[in-house]
Amino acid sequence: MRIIFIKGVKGFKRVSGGKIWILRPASFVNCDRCAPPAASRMEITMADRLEVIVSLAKRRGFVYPSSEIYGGLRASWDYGPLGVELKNNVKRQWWKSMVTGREDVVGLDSCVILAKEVWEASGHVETFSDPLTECTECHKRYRADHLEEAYEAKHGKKPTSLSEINCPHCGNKGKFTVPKQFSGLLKTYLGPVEDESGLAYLRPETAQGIFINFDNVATTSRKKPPFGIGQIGKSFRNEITPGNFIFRTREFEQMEMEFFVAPGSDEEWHKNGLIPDLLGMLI
Amino acid sequence: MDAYSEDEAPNSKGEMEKRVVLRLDYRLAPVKVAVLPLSRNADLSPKARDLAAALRKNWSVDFDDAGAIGRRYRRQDEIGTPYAITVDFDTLNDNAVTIRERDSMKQERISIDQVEAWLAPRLLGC
Repeated sequence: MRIIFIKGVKGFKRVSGGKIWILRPASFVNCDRCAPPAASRMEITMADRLEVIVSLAKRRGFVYPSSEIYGGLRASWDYGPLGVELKNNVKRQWWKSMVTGREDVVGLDSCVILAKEVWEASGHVETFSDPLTECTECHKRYRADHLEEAYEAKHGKKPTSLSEINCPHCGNKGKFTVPKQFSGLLKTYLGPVEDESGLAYLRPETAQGIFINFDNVATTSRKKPPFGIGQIGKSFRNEITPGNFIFRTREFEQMEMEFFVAPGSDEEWHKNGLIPDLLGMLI
Repeated sequence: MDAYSEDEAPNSKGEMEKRVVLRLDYRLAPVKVAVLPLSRNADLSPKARDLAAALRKNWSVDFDDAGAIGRRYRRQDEIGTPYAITVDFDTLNDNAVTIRERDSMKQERISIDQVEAWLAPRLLGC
């Protein structure tokens, strides 16, 4: 089962042209991009424990390495009979407490592939990218920001440049290339011709499906802020370095709720405890 | 991650052995009830199968009649099944079964026709 972190308080956005502020207190996000730093530290100290759980999960059929009989596909996992039950149970309980259990939240199931204009407007096409660097000795690829974070955690200060950092694989120092921006969006083509006209992106988050349907939902369910829209579904990110067990996979399931409130009242909503006691329940 | 735990329980010879228990919230457990006939027996099996079929209407149920009963309990503990029901030879006389709870390992003798009503409040929302 994927570990789910609560996204930090930051992340206020303004819908282009609208007057609605979007507060994202309860976005459940499962990638390190959004996780608080404390979570990654916790992961390391729990590494041994994780290993035992991974072995149990494989042995008892919670998860299998995907495409295994054809040699496998890196960092992708299939959920077995017990895994899918567990995952469905988590989703059902989340949905109960976050959506159907609240009078001010409704649900939605939007498409994985949205018009590419959506991703252009949201800024994902332009900025949803990671700095990619490669060690010129061993040709392993890394995210430059991850290397810098690791350096800072070890030495207590930020490196002035990548040349101060040793390669985690071969140990050589100063062998990294200048980082290039690498888009995290997975592309596909719609229709018979594989060119720019049919280019589309698989969603890297479920939130945009909520934003573009805001008006539809508000009108048809006769809701006005403050209210929220919840969604559970698959998202896709082309990670440079995927894979610590079922964490940071390229295809993953997200449970997300966007809560819309009047401008300026967001702090109050935070204080009043919008988030139900979910974490106590989740593994 | 916090659900994983190990503790000790006596094995069939009365010695203490390591027990792996996934202490999942009942609502998250992949299997809610395991039905375990004590042995593969022409009289026990149909009774156990009928009970499993009846419970399957409401919950996800695992039926397992292979191997030693102690080992089957361990297998269920390992995947976090909250309740394990044993159908034994006394069942043929008193029409009752033993229900064992995962965490406390406490056992209770319940009449077969009361099993569903007994489980219902305990597995509310599962």
